[in-house]
Amino acid sequence: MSKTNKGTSPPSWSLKLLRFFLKSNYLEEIEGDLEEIYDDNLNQYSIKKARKLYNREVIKLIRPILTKGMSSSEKLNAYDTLKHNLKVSIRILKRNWLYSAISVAGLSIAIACFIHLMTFVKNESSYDTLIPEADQIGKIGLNKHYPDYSSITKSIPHSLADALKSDIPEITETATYSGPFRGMLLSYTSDNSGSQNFHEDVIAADGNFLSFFGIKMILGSSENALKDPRSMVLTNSMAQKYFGQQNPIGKSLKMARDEFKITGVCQDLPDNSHLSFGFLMSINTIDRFNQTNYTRPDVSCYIKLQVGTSIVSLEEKINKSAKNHAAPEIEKQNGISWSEYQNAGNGFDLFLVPLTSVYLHPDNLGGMKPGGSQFSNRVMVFVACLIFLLASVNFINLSTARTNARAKEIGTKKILGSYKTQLVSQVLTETFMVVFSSVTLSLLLVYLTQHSFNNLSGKTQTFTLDLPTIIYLFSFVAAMTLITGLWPAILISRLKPLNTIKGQFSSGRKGSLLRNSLVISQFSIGIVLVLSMFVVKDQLRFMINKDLGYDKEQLLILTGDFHMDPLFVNSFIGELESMPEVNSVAGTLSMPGLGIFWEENFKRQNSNDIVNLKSMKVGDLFSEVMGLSLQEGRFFETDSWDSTSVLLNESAVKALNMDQPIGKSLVELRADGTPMTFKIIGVIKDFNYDALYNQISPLVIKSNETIFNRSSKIVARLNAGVSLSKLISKVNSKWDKMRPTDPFMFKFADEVAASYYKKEVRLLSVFKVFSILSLVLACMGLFGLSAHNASLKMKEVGIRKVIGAGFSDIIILLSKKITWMVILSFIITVPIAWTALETWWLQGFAYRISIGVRPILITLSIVLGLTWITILFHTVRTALTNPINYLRND
Amino acid sequence: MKKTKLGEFEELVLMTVVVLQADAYGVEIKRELEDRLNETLSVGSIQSALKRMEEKGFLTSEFGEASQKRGGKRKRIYQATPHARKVLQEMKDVRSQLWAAMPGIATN
Repeated sequence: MSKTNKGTSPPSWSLKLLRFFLKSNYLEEIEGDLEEIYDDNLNQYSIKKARKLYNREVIKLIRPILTKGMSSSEKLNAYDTLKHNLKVSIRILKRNWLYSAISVAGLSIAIACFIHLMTFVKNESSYDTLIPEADQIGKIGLNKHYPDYSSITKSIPHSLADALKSDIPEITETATYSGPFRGMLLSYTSDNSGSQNFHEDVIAADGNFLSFFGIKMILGSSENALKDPRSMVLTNSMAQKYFGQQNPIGKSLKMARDEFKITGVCQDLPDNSHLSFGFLMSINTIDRFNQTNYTRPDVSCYIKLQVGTSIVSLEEKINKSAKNHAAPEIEKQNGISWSEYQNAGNGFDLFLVPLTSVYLHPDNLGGMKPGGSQFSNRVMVFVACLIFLLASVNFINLSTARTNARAKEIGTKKILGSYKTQLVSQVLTETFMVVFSSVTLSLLLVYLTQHSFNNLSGKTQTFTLDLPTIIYLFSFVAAMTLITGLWPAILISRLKPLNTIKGQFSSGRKGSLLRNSLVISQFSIGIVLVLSMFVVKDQLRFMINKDLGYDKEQLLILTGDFHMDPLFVNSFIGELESMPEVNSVAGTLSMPGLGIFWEENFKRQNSNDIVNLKSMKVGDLFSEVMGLSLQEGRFFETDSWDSTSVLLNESAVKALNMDQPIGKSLVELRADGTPMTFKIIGVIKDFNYDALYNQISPLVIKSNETIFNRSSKIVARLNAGVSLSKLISKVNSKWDKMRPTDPFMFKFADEVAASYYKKEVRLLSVFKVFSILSLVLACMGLFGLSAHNASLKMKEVGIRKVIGAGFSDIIILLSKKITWMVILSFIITVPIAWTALETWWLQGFAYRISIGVRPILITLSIVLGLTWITILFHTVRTALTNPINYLRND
Repeated sequence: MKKTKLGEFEELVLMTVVVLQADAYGVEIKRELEDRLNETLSVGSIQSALKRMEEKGFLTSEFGEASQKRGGKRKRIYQATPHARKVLQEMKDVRSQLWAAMPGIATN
């Protein structure tokens, strides 16, 4: 290049670009061509234009055929390798069809489990994220302190909501609701189609509620629908249930002797929200919510914050404001100053929970439906990973075990000039094919098992193949291929060709050590799950069969909306008593498992120690019908007026620090501060009126004569050997005659008591499914491995047989090692599982079993039995084969 | 065996190569075709047609001598293979037969 050309040479950046992308063998020719054209252009046009033309030509040269790495000839080579790899892979997988099938089956089961569990967890952690401005909303929880304990509730006193909003500028909006009020009788009477009566759960919400949560309205406006008393908003599905295709706006529903005007219809709430309701009534319908209340928790309160508000400093402000409002009232009620009250160990703290954490809060702060559990979500992820680990281990085990069988092939390949990378890519292709077909199969499995999984999880989720999922699955296939394929691939590529051809190879002590520890870990996982299953099962059976202190068998409970109608209750009790199948009957407001229990403050006469006790209100004969046993004194009597008498349970006597309680006085401190004195007439032996998670807490039993003989339940003790179905239909027809407006609803006390433990029942079925799955996976792996071990020991077995070993000797020889491995994993795992169950799970029950030897022995025999059955096929086959078949080749 | 296909633009470039004989290198082919077609062509289009035809076996090429004008870089001289000449002839025959069979123009 001459010096004169320098200022007029082609633009350097496009020359660089050209040299970058153009295939190097074309570079000299095309660069020359371009330069020649550039020179011509320089003669014709300005420098600027010539350079522009040059740039344009370079850009136009970017074509596949001229660009590096894109030519068809280079592609062909890679394609051929890939084709070769695929072909060889298919042949190998086909030849070892048993191993391939075990790998694919195991992996796809595991991946399907993984997908199910992860979809579940994803759904659990997506709660309330759809609510607009969810990150600025919080729910206020209340931590109430008593002298010897504190309790967390979801409710705060309703007047605080407005007070907080006006005191604290960072709070832009509030919303409150009360309820749900369970089983309210709603009826709609239309002119032509008769009446529709159903028991429903109703929420009382304030005027802000709908717009606060951005609930979409189909009819009516979210701002005004709940403004006026006796307004009601329905969800779309409830509107259809009562009104069908008619427009519900302006129609009325009757509830508790009040007419409610339908002012709006909102969309059904999504499943993944802790809000769940069918009916909203305006909260100002209920009079007590229109009166000032800073002390009794009665509403759930949500606040919306300004962007960027710090939660910690806000909690301080909220507490300060709340205490300012509550202290005067508390002082008035208790007759002591706020600081005295606090010094005695009483008081409260408000705390703020972000909206998206409400559902998973350990104390179920949501309250409208059962809360989720962060802990069980973590367990799910853990189990998903375990199952997945099991299948991966199987797969790695099998492929490394097969290394020996492939040694000759690899040796030959190496001698013919294969590079290590080519061998690795061959093995990776095989792994890829197994993983890919497993993922495909697992999608099918997920689809097929969706229904049964939903039964287990209690959700209605579906798995959809959207783009992120597909991308996720593909990256999963890639990662899985590398993780499970790389180690066997490297092992294979390291084989020494000379040794393999000569037939001198061994899997190596290292290889077998690792394989053995993988098998042990697989069995350990299986053992943990099986043992947990038996422990959960035992605890559940223990809880269901435990003597609760009352007789829950043959005890019929009628429920309904009749607590305002004691006359009906009395006459119906009379009807029931006249039936020969019925032993005794009582009405009651409180019933274990069905509510209603109160918490009230009591003290001894002439004492200042205030004790917070649970109380229940029952009808005459309730204690007799329930089969409660009396420690001393007497029960309520039918012919005496008991409104100033109380029964205590043993714990209450202890909590009140009384001796000789019979005949003494008990003072209740009412919410308005007035004392009310009762006479203790009897002490009842402690009975479990709550779930067995908790110790029996002190209980005061009052007569329902304190509130006009009201009863919301009727309990009837049936005689033994009564035909239940016949009796129910008899009671039902009587009910329909005497109470046509109310649907007939009944429960049995033993079912009610068992329904506490739904969570444990579900846990048990989860453990059942996953312990079976893990055992199946472990056995699949073992089956493959035993085939491999048997094939390695063929010669040894042959020689032993020639020398004179019998069938049983051979069986023992082949199953000894695996048996020891299972026993070893048992010894390792059982203490761990035992400790984990003791500390994490059984701790949660006040009444619990201790893990005995029985579940451990059952687990051991199940696992050992399965192990032997699994290896039986190969050991017996090896033991039966004629030794000549594998000795004559030498 | 299926005959390897020759595109329309490729056919033009191929014929230009035959016409230019010993002068058939990139720039000259571009110049000649631009003159005959009366339109501007990019180096990219000419080069990709040349490389494609070389791959399909219509053309062979070898480096010519270097010249000062090209900054010392050698030209690549293209030459049509006998197969290419045969294919060109066949295409011409097919065309003239079709022309002869077209009624409107044949009667003119």
